[in-house]
Amino acid sequence: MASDQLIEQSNCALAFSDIDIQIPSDLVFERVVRESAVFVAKYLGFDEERVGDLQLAVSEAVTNAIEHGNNSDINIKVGVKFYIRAERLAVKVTDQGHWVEAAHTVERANDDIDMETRLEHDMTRGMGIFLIERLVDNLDVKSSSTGTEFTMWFNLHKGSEPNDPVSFNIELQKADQHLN
Amino acid sequence: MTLKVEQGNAFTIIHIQNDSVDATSAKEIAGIKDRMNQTTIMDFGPVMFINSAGISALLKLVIEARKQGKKLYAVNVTAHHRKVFEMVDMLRYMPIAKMEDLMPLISA
Repeated sequence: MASDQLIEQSNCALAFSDIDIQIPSDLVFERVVRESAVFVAKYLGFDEERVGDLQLAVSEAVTNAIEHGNNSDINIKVGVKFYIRAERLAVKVTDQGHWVEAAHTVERANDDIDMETRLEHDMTRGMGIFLIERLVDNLDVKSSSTGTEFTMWFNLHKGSEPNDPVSFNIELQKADQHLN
Repeated sequence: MTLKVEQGNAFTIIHIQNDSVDATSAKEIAGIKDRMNQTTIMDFGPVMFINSAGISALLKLVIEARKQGKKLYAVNVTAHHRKVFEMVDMLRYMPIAKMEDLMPLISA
């Protein structure tokens, strides 16, 4: 049965499941997560544009986790959790590094510089974060001695409802406790 | 090979043949800067996914085209990729066109 048909059938029931994926820190496996993101987004009924937003943002976050978080060490895993709710989705990407603040600093420093100047001076680092910030409905980053948690929220339709990261964060914590 | 290059007297059409424009195809895109013509068309026909590595390569190419005084156009771009191109200022350097509208340029 085609995946699109499976998704169509699954839409009959509301989804309250979470999906947990662990991949080795090799860019080859980024595609596994990217394709999973598309499947989940279609399952939730995201339109084509939102599917594209999710796919790109997840891909960039996972790429950063592999390259900057885990330094492409194939023995270290990148964790990806999809928290599926009726009309929204959270994706948490975890790694063992501390790259996010540095990337944000680069991005903020580049805010007033146009793209041509950035490229001429090879200042394209931070492009992934730049895109993520524009594609997601909300973003939460937590860094600790054990690594970085990068959580992105997506509503069914971008900006379709007020975001409440605090209450949704509580939901995520409960879900984590349940999984553990 | 992820790119197929079609060349005429005054035009080049670069057909991207992969469904992804990413770090892998970025290397090939960087390699075609010397094959551009007065009118150069990037055909995104089968492309389903473009990430920041691919975008960076494309931006470098389009800025190089402008420096060389060459016109670069994108065809067969999805609505989502149009949005992403707008975010990164790509359309300033590489407008999106319909292939039929470019026919006078390449048949001249």
